[in-house]
Amino acid sequence: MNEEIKLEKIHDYLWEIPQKGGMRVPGRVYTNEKMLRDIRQDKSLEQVVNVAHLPGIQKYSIAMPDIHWGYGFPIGGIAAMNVEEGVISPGGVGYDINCGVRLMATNLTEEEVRPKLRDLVTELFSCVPCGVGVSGKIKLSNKDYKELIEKGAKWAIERGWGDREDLERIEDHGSFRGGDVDTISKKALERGKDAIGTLGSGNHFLEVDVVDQIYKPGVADAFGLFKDQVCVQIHCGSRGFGHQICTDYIDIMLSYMRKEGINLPDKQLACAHIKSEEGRDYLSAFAAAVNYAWANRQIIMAFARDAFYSVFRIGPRELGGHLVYDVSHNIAKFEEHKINGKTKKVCVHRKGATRAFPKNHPLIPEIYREVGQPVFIPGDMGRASFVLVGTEATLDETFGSCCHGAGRVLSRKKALKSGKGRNLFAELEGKGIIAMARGKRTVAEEMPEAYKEVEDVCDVVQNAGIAEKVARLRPIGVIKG
Amino acid sequence: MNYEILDHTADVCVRVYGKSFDELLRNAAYAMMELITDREKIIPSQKIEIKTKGETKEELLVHWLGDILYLHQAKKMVFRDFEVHIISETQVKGKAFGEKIDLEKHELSSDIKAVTYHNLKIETLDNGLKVDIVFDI
Repeated sequence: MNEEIKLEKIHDYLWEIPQKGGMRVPGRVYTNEKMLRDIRQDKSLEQVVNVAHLPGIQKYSIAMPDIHWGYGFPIGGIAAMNVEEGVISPGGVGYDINCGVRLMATNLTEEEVRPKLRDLVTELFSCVPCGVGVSGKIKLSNKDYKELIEKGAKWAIERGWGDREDLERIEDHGSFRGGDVDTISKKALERGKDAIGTLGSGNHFLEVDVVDQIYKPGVADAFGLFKDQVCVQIHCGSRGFGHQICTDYIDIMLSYMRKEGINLPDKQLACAHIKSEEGRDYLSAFAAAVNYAWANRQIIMAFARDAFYSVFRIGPRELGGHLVYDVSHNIAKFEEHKINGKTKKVCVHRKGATRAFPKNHPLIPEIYREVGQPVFIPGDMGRASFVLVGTEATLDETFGSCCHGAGRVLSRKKALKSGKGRNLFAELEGKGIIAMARGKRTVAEEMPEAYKEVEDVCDVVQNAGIAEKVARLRPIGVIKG
Repeated sequence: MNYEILDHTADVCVRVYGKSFDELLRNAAYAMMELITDREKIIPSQKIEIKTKGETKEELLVHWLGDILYLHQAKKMVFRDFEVHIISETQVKGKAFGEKIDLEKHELSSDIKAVTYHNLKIETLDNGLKVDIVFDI
């Protein structure tokens, strides 16, 4: 069906889908000729068009180069809504509310870690609960649970999982205002209760990486990154808690749309006006899930630090183990952006997209204000991940956003077929990567070939001028669910 | 075969058939449970009653599967079999037969986050009904 969608080339890295039919704005796709061929294989461009139908959408329905077919919104989609007349769409955030990535940098080098790498990965695998159906080690009282969803990462730090300085290096200081237990169903509370401090499965991971290339030394230095340094990347979200909140509110919004007579091309885009009661309630429940995810990544990082202490018999000072930053890539944020020369407050939906603010932006931590916001683009487990930094152009072009990952090219079914008869663990080990996974199928489903080459994705955003490469991370240890 | 797994880049899509709406709901539940684990290894020692409502048939289908998914995720259950009774256009009563998850015995292969409404449309065929369901995993 994508063959029918007309695209007009703006430049080598940007195409426009002209506004037509019920579209309120045009679509814009950041990509290159080669990736565009892959994008046309599925229904993701149709989804860019569908998002352009949402009430209150501003400027463009935007897609990043890692765009792929999702449900409702494409994965890699960005849409900013006018706060007055616009809508909030739970599907535009995703089921895994505040899924994101954090990067922790250590003082250790590859040379120091390599001799004990297997011990380290084994220890990480045993101390970070992961996999389908695996419960966490933390038992929450009702009082704890309420505080967790009100305070986010701050709650985790008050309980001893991390340091105060970590909060400076998380979007919004790791705590979203307005998380309200009264807007959350019993089902959601139940699904989240024993999942705090767990990684999950699917594409979520904990990875030990080495900084193997530095592209912008000054910025890398400001982020505390140096060549051959060992880092840890953590990718996970709000677990069953967020999944159930999204499920619950899509139904509430379908009723709202019937009541208000809003018609959209796909039910999965279900939405409510930001200022409606339904919209406000979703935003309170959403804030709770955002906080849950921040606390979750904070706790997992604390577990990872403990694994390093025990394997290398060192303390916090020797390890370093400082949080570089924590980025969200399934989120909606109220931000001010310039639209037709005027500064307006908008609600930016980033579904599989990362905020990428440039230097001097007031919403980035003071320590990074002179260089810009760190952005993490995880690749597949066999190749590389990238650290980028936001540029001025992001504000003009993409509501301060850029890509979030490599993006799948193979379905899980095709990946499983291609993995048949192969020992993927041995293949990874041949590349110097020790991988451990709870589920037998996970590594096959997540094999490197299942993803686009992340470097191509990062090159598009760099060439389009919306972010710049700072460093490359090469995996040496991987934990999957 | 009353269901098949289709290709979908990021998520999982299943095509489910049923001679009637209640059979479609039952087969959809089987399909979802097969995505989660090997149904053959589940002993149906416990029975759980499920009451589901929905404004449309599509909503009813999503809610029915959502209720089973909740029992799996929150109550840590896996199910071998299902019974479905249509009460009205907007209501079904069902039973799920299964047991508590035992990770030693039940290998769980997919963590289904949710049942989506994406392009969800129950189609009428000559000999019954057909629907494509996208699960977020």
